[in-house]
Amino acid sequence: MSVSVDFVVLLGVLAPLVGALVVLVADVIWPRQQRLPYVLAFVSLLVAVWAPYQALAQGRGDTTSTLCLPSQPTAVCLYSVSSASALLQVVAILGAFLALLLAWPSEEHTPADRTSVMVMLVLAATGGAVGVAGAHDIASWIIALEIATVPIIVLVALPGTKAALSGAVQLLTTSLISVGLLALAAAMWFVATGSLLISADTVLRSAASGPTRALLTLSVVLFLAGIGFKLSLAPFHAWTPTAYAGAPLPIATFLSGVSKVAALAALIVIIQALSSLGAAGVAAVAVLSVLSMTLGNLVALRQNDVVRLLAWSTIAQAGWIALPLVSPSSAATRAAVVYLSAYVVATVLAFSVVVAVVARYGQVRSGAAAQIPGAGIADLSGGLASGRMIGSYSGLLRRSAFLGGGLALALTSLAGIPPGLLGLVAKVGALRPVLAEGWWVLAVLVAVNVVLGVAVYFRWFRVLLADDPAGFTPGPERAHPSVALAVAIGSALLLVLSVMPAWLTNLLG
Amino acid sequence: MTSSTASTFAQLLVAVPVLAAVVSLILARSAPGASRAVSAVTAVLGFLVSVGLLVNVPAEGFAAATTVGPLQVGELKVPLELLVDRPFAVVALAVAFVVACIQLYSVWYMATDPRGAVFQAIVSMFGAAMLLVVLSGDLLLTLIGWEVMGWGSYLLIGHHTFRRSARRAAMKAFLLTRFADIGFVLGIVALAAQTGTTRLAVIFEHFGEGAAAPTAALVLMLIGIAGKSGLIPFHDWLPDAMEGPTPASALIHGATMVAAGTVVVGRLFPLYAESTDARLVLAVLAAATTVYTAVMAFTQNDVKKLLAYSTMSQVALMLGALAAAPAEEHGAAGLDHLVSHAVFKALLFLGAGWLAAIGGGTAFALLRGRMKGWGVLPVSFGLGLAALAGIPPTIGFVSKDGVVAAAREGTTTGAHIVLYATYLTVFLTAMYATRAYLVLVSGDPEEPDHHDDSHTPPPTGSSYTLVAGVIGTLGLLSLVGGAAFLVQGAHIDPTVAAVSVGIALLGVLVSWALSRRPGGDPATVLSESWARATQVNLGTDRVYAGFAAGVVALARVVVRLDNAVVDALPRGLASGATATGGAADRAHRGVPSTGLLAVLSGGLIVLVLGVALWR
Repeated sequence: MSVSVDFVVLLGVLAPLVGALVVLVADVIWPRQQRLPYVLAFVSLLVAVWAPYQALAQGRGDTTSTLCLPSQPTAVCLYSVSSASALLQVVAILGAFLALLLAWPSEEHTPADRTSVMVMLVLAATGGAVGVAGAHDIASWIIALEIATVPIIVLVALPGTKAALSGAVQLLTTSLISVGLLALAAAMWFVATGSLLISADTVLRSAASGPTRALLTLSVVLFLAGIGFKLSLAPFHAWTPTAYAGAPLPIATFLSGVSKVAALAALIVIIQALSSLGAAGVAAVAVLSVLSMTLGNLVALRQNDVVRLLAWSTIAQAGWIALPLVSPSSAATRAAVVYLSAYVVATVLAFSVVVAVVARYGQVRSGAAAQIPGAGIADLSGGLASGRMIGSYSGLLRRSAFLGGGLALALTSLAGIPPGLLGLVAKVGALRPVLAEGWWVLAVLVAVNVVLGVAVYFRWFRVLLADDPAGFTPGPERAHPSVALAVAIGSALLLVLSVMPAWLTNLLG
Repeated sequence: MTSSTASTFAQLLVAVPVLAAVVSLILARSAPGASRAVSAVTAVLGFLVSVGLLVNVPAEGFAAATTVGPLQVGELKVPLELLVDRPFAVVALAVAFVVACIQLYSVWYMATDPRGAVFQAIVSMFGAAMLLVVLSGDLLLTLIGWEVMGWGSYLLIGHHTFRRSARRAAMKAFLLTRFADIGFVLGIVALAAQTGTTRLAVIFEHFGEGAAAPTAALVLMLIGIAGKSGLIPFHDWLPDAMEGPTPASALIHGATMVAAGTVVVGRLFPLYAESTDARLVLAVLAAATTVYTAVMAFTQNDVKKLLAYSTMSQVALMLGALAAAPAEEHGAAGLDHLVSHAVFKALLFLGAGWLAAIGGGTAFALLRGRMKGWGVLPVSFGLGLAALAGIPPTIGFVSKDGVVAAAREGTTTGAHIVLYATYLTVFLTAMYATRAYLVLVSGDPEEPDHHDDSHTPPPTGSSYTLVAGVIGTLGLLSLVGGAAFLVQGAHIDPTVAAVSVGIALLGVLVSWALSRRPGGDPATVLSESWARATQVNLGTDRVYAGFAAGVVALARVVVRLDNAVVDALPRGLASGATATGGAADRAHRGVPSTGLLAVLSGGLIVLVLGVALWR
């Protein structure tokens, strides 16, 4: 049996994975390098983005495929990328790039012995995320999804602090359940369809008879449960706040961005295969989605630690990402992808600003910036001094229009109110399939969540405009250049896409 | 050709005082002298323009003029045009003339006032607003002029910001007239909604072609008119408005704000003539006000307050004439009385200002006999009072005769009410006019117990010439102005004239007879308690305050209901959301076992849902 392999198409998966290997090899040759792993990672990500970039140029409905088996009547391809999955891949690579920018070592602290491991793990997870978007057979789908997940557990645990370990343990235990569920689902899928392929044809064939149809149902439901964990859909969300709070900030950024891309990509592969069966099969998505939104927003309303707030916001946003998938149409898939893209850009931007502010507080605390005017170190105490409390952002917009403006843009986009118009467009797009299916109860619950969401993000946003209590927060922020670059890229993307949201939707044809 | 010249003059007549107000307001702080000069010179210029307008206005029909160009607001056409015909050109002339007199007079009267230049600039603005109302051919322009006057009256009455009573009076005038304006605005909106335009010519056409008269809209507008013109129940702001400097009182009472109601009713006369009901409302209000305020005027012991009540009485007479006159009369009697009243009331107020300068106050006690020996002042003031009383051959006699004639010719119930009220008022007016004259020329004054810096010293030198010139001119006009009306086409019915003059003379006689009693003041015939009550306007102020307190109490009830009932739902939702969030947050303390439990239960939910729903 001959399999055709097009390495250019596979570049999106291969480049990060090869990059991960190269980073390890380089570490053996030149140990304890601080910046080299990053440079290598950036290069491999740059190479990786080429393949989905090419795929984005294709028209609607077209796919770029490889790993094709010469079967009858048509060739079956194990890896194929539509424009929607290509956009997911681009977003995953962009998220990894920005997370690495945030992790770029500043002069002061040097955990150089772990740098290459960290970078290697990030690259591996990125490769998995890109791969799952293109996988069209159960085996590579599960493997890619796990490659995207397992490195993250290690990344969370890497600092070795108590919080990090507790986060990692949470992640690990729920992850184990998830893997179990997915394995069970895969087995049932194979029994039901007699094939490892995830395609509309196999689904239609197995749905034709009663017993296999029931098995297929169980399989899909188990898939949903397993992916719900990756996407932080309630009630599979419990690991999220702990892991976010315990992980280093760049890793939390990575977790909230790339990891969600992988999960949605995995879900879309399954949902697309089911599209031939009609709507009812994905009713469970509606329940999980609205449950996530409500729980995420309600708890986020009570968070004072911005990282935990962003964690709960991720849970709420995961509900939004899954929402359009209640309709099995390709328009719904595109809406989910657009929503995810908007969410990733905004969340990564918010995290970038948090990294900048936390670093600033760290500077002030360590006394390195004693001569910086306005640094009232004596007043800084408790949580406020870590830069992770909402109060630490008091008057940020007055102190730094760059950071404050970026954060304001990110928060309004997440809330879906101007000036963050991208979020608004994405929310409207996500609601449209729900209305098209005529699920009015769901639409009303979602509308309630829109209001809750505005309250969540406005709590933080309001603080940005406040008058800075005299001397309570450090003077003018000047972020590290790499962090500043990440903030600039995020702000520019959000600004451009808010002015021209059609640009993003047109990418999907 | 004449009509286009008339249009240009009409545009100029509004534009000149507007520009004057802007320029003098800009200069008021940096160059007060120049600012005052601009105000005075442009006022005289405005008077000349109004003469030009009267000369060029067509004898029959209207001349229209554009202003800032038409507006199209959705379905509504707003041409923003001016419309002038002969009667209104006369009114405009009177307004411009009185404004010019007041500006010249203010050069003396406000000389010692540090904010005198600002005062004069506001007078210019006020004049511009009144001229806009007079010349307006568009309901929106009327409303703009109307509201600017309301604002200007607030500024002028409250000019002495250091006096609490002045601030209160200004606020009272503003709130009362604004409150009444609700009706005015609603009426205008109703008219515009029914016709699709604010253009008067089109509105007249619309309702002239058999459409039912817009009684509701007209009655609504009457509320606003009652507010500005001081008809019952909105009458109480006018006596308080005497807190303003005397030139402001002369302006507000002479030719502008108070008369604006008459101007609007006169302008809309074709509509009011169609609606008997609206005119009946106006007749009753006007009749009640004219008699009540004439009685109140007789009892006042302050010359300015006497004049204030007399203004209300006279304005109600004008409105009464408009309410009573037969449709074919075109309301000329009311407008004629407006013009004549503008002349003699401006004279009386400016004279009162001079008297206040002499006596150090406006209370009769201070002014007893003070008028003797000031040359032109007693003669002119006397002529003004004679005109007020309607003694021939003064201007007031001619115009009041017109009012009586209009009321006699009217056949409606309203006309009869107005007629009897007018006779009664003629009698009362003669009484209080006589009383004022007798008190001012005889007896010995009290000395003011404290020296009030806010009063201007009597005029000397060139300012004496100026003031005497203004007062003398007004006095002369009061005497011979009636002839002008006769030339214009007014006619005197001997029977009517005989009756009304007879009543007036009876009033003079009664007042003179009462003055022979000890004390020399006819008003002492009143009981002590009655006299005291009239000094506080019979407690109308307290009625207003009670009304306001009632509204506030009602508002409190509404707020409490809103808080307790309407807001309870969103507040409950908010606290519910926070409480649920808090509880959920406590349930997430990073214990792996609870997380696992959630995952398992979630798996169960999804399984059940998936299997149950997949059909």
